[in-house]
Amino acid sequence: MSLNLLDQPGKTVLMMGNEAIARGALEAGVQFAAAYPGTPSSEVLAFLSRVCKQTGMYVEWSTNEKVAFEAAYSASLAGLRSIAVMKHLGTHWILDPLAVAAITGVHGGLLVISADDPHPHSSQSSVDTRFHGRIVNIPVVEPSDPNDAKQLVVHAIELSEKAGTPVLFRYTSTVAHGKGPVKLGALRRERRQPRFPRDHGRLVSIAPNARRNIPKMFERLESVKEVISQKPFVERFGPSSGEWGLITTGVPHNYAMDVLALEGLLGDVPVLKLAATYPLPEDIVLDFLSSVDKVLVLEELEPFLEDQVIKLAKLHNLDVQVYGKNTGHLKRYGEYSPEIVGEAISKLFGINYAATPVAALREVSSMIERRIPQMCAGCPHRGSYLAIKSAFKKLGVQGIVFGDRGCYNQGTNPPLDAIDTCIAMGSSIAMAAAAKKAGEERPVVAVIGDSTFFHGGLPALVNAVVNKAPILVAVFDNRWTCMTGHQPSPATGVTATGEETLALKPEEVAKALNVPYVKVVSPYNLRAAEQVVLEALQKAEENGLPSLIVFRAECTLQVLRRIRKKGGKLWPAAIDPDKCVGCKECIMTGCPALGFDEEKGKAFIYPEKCVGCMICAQVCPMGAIFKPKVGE
Amino acid sequence: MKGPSQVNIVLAGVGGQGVMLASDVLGIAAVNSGLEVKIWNVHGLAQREGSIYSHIRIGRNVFSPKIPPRSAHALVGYELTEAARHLHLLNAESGVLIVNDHLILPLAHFTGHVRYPSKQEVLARISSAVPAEALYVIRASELAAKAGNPRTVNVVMLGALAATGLLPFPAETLLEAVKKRVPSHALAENVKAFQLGFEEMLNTMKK
Repeated sequence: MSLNLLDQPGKTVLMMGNEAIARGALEAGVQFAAAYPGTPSSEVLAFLSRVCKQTGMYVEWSTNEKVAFEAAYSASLAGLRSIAVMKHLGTHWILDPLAVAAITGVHGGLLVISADDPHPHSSQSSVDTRFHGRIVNIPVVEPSDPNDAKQLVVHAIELSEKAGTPVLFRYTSTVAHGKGPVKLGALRRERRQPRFPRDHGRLVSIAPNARRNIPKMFERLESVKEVISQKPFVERFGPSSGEWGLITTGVPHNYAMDVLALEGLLGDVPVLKLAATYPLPEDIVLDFLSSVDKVLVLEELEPFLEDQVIKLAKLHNLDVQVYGKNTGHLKRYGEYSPEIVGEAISKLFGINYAATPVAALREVSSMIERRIPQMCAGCPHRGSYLAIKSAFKKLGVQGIVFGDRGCYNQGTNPPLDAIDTCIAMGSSIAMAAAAKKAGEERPVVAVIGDSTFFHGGLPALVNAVVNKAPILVAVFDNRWTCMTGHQPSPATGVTATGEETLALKPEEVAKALNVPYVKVVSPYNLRAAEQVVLEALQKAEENGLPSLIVFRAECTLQVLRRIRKKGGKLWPAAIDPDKCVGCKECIMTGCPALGFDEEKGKAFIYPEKCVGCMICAQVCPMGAIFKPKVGE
Repeated sequence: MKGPSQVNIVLAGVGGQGVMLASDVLGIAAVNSGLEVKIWNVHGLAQREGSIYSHIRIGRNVFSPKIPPRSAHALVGYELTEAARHLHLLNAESGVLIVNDHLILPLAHFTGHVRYPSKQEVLARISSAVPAEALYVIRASELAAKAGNPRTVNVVMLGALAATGLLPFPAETLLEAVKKRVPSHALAENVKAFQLGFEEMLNTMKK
């Protein structure tokens, strides 16, 4: 895959959107890239990290998105073309410094690459981050497919550098993970020497300086209008006028084109595709609005573009009907599809969109229930949750478990059903501490992974110590940022480029913060782990301070990868059918390597899925689970 | 669907069945044949026993990577319930459903948190909605084992898909793409898997 990234100009290759964005960065002469992993954005930096040594680009996984943005902003001020890549949730984290960067302006082109997840497939919310661009007054650019994404990265960097403003490059899941043909341009090897400017009047953004510089921000915003009124930010399709037309941006543009193609209307309907949706290329939009009687605005999530179009039409007293979310023809949430766009077009403009499903087929489809995801076979988090659950059972009280963001949020799924909350990065510790301070008497546990601990958990742990919250902080340290594809975390000991670095230990951090009870346990020894949980909860109450346990075991998938690479074999467990009484205790650990034969009333293990972690063996009351001797 | 200028294929399975690799193979074959191709993959929880699927659209005037309902010329199900889940995408009049005769029950079924149909139930439901001449049930898991590696199910199914003649390139092109994409140490078993799938499909179509 990294081959494509450095491939020859002029060639057309199949690329995933995230790979195309990485290629765009290489063609734009980006010298500095920082990111925190988050689906659907994670692959951008992963791709760059594979080729950065050859191209001389600096690439880092930062501790969180705010750090990533500030790193890229600093590099930009020093003159380098820079990108900060994150999912929408991370973009929420950077608003404070981004707002200042908008006021100070930038030097090297600077993009905030923000991946929205409208469905959402893998996020706790689906906020439209284009508003972030508008709030802080920087241009917003959005691509519709991988090829569009690649070329727009190049143009957006140029735009940013020319106008001296950060640019928000917003894309969505379908672009990120979709694949399409990408026409490669020339790779651009920038060798700028960083030189951080001394410019107090701008970069020391205290109030008097900010007051002086804020008007310049609006001048910069105004100055981009000329460029964003041209290709590739603006494209027109179809005739120059018509009864009805479409204004599109992002993925829905291609859904609309598919619908028109299916109905044989391709080339018959005026379509205005905008890749810059803030500020608006007003003259272009006005010209389009004057050429049609009715217009449907197509965009995913909020009526961001639509509201601006309505405002413009109103200001200029144009006799045009603007349809979309404000008129109830489309929704303000959820991922769009050709059928959603097709239905809106059909309803408004009297065409009969053909792709409606046959009821009988739909009926069968809707009968199949969702596959509830489970933590992987052999996942250490399973043991950690079981230890916490069995400690509660021993205490005879159902404690409260504040969860956090990562693989371990699948602890909510049945049968484990082990967490009570899952909010935002680092929320577990802050909310757990607050529960105790508010007077909660039951045991309170905060569960947080290693990457999330360093990302957003640290300030909350400091808070819990200083404000004396008697909680148990359980750090599920599996050494990697796993949910997003095994990027290194600060606990890993390697950088984005594979260089060795310090592997930070949450227990050392806790000790330095004067957490009085700190222990490290293996999640694979349930009884020992349960004992430590009981002790930690008791000590927290006694000390009137947090206790912290590190459940340490490397992610099973990473361990398996290494074993397979070396040609090693696994040693799966088995269930003795003579001993199994069918109580399903093993199944209730939620391990996907287990199954149950309803006819025989016995549990069994899929040997091809089992990694032999023996957690289920420890919960089996009959001692029926064992490791067969080789050849048995 | 307007003419044969485009071919829409849906691949659907469970994490670990190799759906993403199969999708890559179709993409490579299309590009090597000088055809335009767009692909949409949903694989968020692939490694955690979740559903996984890929839309592959090959041909001219294909804009978005998503296949609208009733527009798939081929639905390739790596598992019975996953095939059923995506049935609404199939154009049952002119398309085909090729499905592996294999059921993967989720753990939540054994714990009683969801209820999955039995093999017979799901097959009956599919048969009631898809015309017999469009439905091909393939013993892909058995054939993969016969090829020497149960993990070659994905390539068995590609062999079967190639045998339908629906693809806009020859079976050899698809096999070449398989060879390019699978790990070199697993080449022989994958080639075997492709051939077994191809033959099985030809035999099934004759019946």
